[in-house]
Amino acid sequence: MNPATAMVWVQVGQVLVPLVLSTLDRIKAFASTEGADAEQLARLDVDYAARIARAEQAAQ
Amino acid sequence: MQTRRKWQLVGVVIGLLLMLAFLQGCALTSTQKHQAVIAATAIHDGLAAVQDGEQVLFEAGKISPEQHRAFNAKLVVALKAGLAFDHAIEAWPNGGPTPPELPVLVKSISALLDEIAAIFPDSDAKAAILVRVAQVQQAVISVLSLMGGPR
Repeated sequence: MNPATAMVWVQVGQVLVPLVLSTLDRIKAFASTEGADAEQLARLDVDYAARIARAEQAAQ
Repeated sequence: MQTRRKWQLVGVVIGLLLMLAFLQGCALTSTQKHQAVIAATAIHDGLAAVQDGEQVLFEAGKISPEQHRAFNAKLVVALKAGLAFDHAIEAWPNGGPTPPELPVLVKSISALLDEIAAIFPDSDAKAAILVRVAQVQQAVISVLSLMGGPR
């Protein structure tokens, strides 16, 4: 590999490495938020079901 | 041969860049979805506060049985809209556009709350209900701004 080509690859690496690292960080944050959000929505669904039953009974 | 290999490498780099852009885009959508979950929680908590607050007032004799029934008949619809809002977020695929039903549902919740507030004549009970209604309306405004403003 000639020095000019090597230089190009070094520059490509300098762009790609931080991008890969920041994407990995985002994926980690994404995975943990995704799980917590799904749990939260499931909790809300259960509470909504109980409240709807209560309100339906009171509406009669 | 060497030129072909070079182009293969360039293709790999471009593919990697596209993959990274896609993953970053997914994470961005997730942020929006996460904000929608926060808004859904605020709407739920507001509706729960409206229901619990009315129950306390009813048990204290400040609301008539007729008002209590009329209130709950409207609240059932608002609670079902809240549940449908949750389901729409749950079904929101990562990387997909914002579900169009979200702003429609929050607007219907908002309209139902106006109807609920109208059930009560001016009184301390109405003021107490209105405080909780305002809490939900605040969440509704945040959802609409999340969806790019009122439609």
